[in-house]
Amino acid sequence: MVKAIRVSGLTKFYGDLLAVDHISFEVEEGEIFGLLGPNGAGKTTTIKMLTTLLRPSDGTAEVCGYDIRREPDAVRRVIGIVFQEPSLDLELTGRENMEFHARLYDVPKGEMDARIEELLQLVELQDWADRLVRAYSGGMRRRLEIARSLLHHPRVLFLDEPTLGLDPQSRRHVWSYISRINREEGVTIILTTHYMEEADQLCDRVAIIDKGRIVALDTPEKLKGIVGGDVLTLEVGPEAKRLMEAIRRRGLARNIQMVRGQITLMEKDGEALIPVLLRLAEEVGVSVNSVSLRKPSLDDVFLYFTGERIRSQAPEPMMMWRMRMMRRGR
Amino acid sequence: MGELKAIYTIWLREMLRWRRDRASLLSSMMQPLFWLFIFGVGMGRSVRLGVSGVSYLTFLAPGVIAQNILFTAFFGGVSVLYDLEFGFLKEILVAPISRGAIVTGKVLGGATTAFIQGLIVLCLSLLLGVRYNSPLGLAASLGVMALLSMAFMALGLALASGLERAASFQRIGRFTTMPMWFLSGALWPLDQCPTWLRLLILLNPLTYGVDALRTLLIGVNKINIALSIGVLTAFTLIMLGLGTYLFSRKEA
Ligand SMILES: Nc1ncnc2c1ncn2[C@@H]1O[C@H](COP(=O)(O)OP(=O)(O)OP(=O)(O)O)[C@@H](O)[C@H]1O
Ligand SMILES: [Mg+2]
Repeated sequence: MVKAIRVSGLTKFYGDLLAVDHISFEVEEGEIFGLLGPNGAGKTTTIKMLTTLLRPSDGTAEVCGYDIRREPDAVRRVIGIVFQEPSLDLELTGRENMEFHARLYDVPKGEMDARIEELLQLVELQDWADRLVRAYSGGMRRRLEIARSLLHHPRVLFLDEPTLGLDPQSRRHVWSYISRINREEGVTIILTTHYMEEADQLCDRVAIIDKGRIVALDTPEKLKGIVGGDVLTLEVGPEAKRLMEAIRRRGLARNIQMVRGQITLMEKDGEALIPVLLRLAEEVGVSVNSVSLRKPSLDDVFLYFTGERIRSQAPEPMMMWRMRMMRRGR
Repeated sequence: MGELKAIYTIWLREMLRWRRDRASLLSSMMQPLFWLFIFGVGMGRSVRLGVSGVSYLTFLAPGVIAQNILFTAFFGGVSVLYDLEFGFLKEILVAPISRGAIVTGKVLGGATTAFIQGLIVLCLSLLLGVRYNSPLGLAASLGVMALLSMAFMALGLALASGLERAASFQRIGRFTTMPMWFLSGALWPLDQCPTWLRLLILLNPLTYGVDALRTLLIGVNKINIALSIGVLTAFTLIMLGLGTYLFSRKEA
């Protein structure tokens, strides 16, 4: 069977800068596939190459069996895309933007109006259809772009940061559209994001991408399984390094990372480890401000593979309890 | 069929946008009014052309029509760069339509705008008392105006396709259109200037448009009209080809 997407050795240089570094992966038909990575990881560059907007420096890819270099027109016919940056004509109404798209993709005249109506309803914009897009809010523009990308029944839909800059409620709305599109229209979806929860909840499989390379690729469950059972985070402060070295010397944890005064350990039985760690901290004379224990998130997976966090603040805890420690030395 | 629909779609969008943009239509009428009224009427009294039976205003009018078409069409090319800057170009580039269809649709869109503006200037000149030779010449001149519109829109689009930013287009545009206007034989007769200047004028495609319009509208003629139309047609086709080539290299 033909894969929805087959990427082999895809590479992009911008001058000297290697933005995408020989990546390869495959996406099955009907899948929701996520590219998760921090700013500048190369997600957009990858999407632009797959959608024929950028020429690869090396390697190639097939979309529904069509080569992006040799058959760009065939690729364009089977894909839909929502770009990271806005791509609407602000001087046209929502409906005019939709009609423009429908004509470019040769949607039959008889089907066009009904399809536009149906999609505007899906994204709850039917009341705004005849106003200029200039008057839309950011979230409404995003929803219009999603509706537009579906007009011509694409087989593969690319969504580049579909919920960037949306409030939590709109984000949840967009998530529900995405899963409905996938379920009801059978569209293969490839989306990029740097929101862990988004990749976790929505995607069947996730590729974690950093500095132009794929560092891990699997289902969210399996990826979190790699990390281990529990994630323990100790807030320490400037003395973190000393405590970390002590933990290493004792061989208390296989995987241990430090980011800005915060020590993260990933271990099977985190609960039992807490008292041990606190005793050790006392021994080496390091004060611990707080300890938290939770199940791993994809951010922890990212940390595990790259030694860095995707974003500075910790992700929403799934299960967490906090122990405020008495400050010692008082 | 698919190609024609794509061209129509691109063209239609330009028309929808233009219809909503009354302010720029009004402001673009100021310049030809200035030339016809201040220059043509005011200066006409003290200019002796040596062209028998034709007032300076009448001599000038076809040139002003051509000039308005030149400016509107040429600067219409910048719309590609605005589309790039506003992100809409991505929507066009990712569509399954040939790059030639995109360029043709854009050129037809900009040319339609320029043609209508040229038509408005023609009507203004009639209101100011310019009298043209024959209804037949008038009708034929519409064809030349359409050709001129295509030619300079194609030129503007080819230039824009080779650039990255709208601001650089505007800068280059000012340096190109001004000399084209002054060196087009629109302001004084071709044969009343030194040879080196005449050579420059004959290298300018606008010259052939101005002369063809004058031939048809007022019967004053320095260049064979068949030659003029041939030059303009060839120029348009070359610019369309160049524009398509440059445009298809665009990444968004
Ligand atoms: N047109 C360009 N010219 C030069 N460098 C570029 C260009 N576009 C992107 N880059 C660089 O390529 C790298 C990858 O950028 P890309 O936009 O693909 O990242 P991303 O993963 O989409 O990031 P974000 O989450 O911020 O959208 C970055 O280092 C960026 O600075
Ligand atoms: Mg991006």
